[in-house]
Amino acid sequence: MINERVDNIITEVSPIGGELNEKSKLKKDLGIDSLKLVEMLIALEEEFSIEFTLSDLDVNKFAVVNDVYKLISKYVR
Amino acid sequence: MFENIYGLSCIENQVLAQLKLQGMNISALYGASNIDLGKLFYQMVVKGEKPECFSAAPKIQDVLKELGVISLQLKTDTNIISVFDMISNEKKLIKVKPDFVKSKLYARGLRSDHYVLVEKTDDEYKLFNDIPETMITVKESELQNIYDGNYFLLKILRDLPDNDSSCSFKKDKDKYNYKMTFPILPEILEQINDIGVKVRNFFWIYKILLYRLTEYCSPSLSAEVINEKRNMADNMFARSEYLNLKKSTDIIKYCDLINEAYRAKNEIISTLNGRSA
Repeated sequence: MINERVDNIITEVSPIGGELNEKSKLKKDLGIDSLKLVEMLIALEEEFSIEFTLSDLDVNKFAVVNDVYKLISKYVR
Repeated sequence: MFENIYGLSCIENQVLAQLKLQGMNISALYGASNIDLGKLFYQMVVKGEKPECFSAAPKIQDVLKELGVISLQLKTDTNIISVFDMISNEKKLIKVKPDFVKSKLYARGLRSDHYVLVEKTDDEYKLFNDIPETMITVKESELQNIYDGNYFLLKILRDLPDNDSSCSFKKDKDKYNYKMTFPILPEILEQINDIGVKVRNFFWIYKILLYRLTEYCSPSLSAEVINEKRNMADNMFARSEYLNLKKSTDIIKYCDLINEAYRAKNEIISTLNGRSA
């Protein structure tokens, strides 16, 4: 359920709207560059009523969709 | 085609890519566009210069024109198709409409205007975009529809020998040793309106200039140092955009980011000074 909500946000933010699964590459498959990534994280904050720390914004740790699931699991159970 | 290309605009990216395709050493050019961080802070944050108007570093295409390496002319014609019929020996960098940029190229730079390289093949046209790197094929009628009124003609006139572009860091060492007014204090930022977008713009330019600096100095830096600094620049840019989009008024966070940028650049310079001493 949580991952589905994450998927919805990613789909909304993705300019390409490609196929989405946990192994989908954020940049290559979904067109989510660093600016879009930040937009996505803010949308996730709103969706789950959470607030990330600046240290969560390590762009190199967000390669695939599963990396987003992992971050959310730190905040939402 | 655009690997290790760090232009501040799509035109710079396209020009650099063409030079690279000709086998020229483009990383040598990055040294000419390096600027003092204090100056960058003043231009982007204090004066609030927009990224598309950024003028503190010389445009690479202007440097190349001055050296006589390229010719680059802005042209306006209503019928872009006829340009391909009339001119065959120059590259065409065509301005495309914002809707096309957004919906087909998925490009989202901070500038409002955008140019792509277009090549004619039989009755089709291939469009080469820089960021994200993509190639799209369109028919004649579609090209005319997405064309936004002007284009550049680019021609490479001669090779770029290394002695033209001052490759040695040691030779340029003094250029990097400006006295900067850092650390930036919160009182300075408190007086600035729209701090979020200005700091984000600062980091957009900073990130590209830091990539250029590491590329230019790559013979003297380890791959580990280069990756570490580039990752740091990526993160600082993302964090500045995060603060901007959240409309954060926490001046300390902006200060910390800018001062971190200063430290990161200084570390590169210290490493280089140590190795070239």
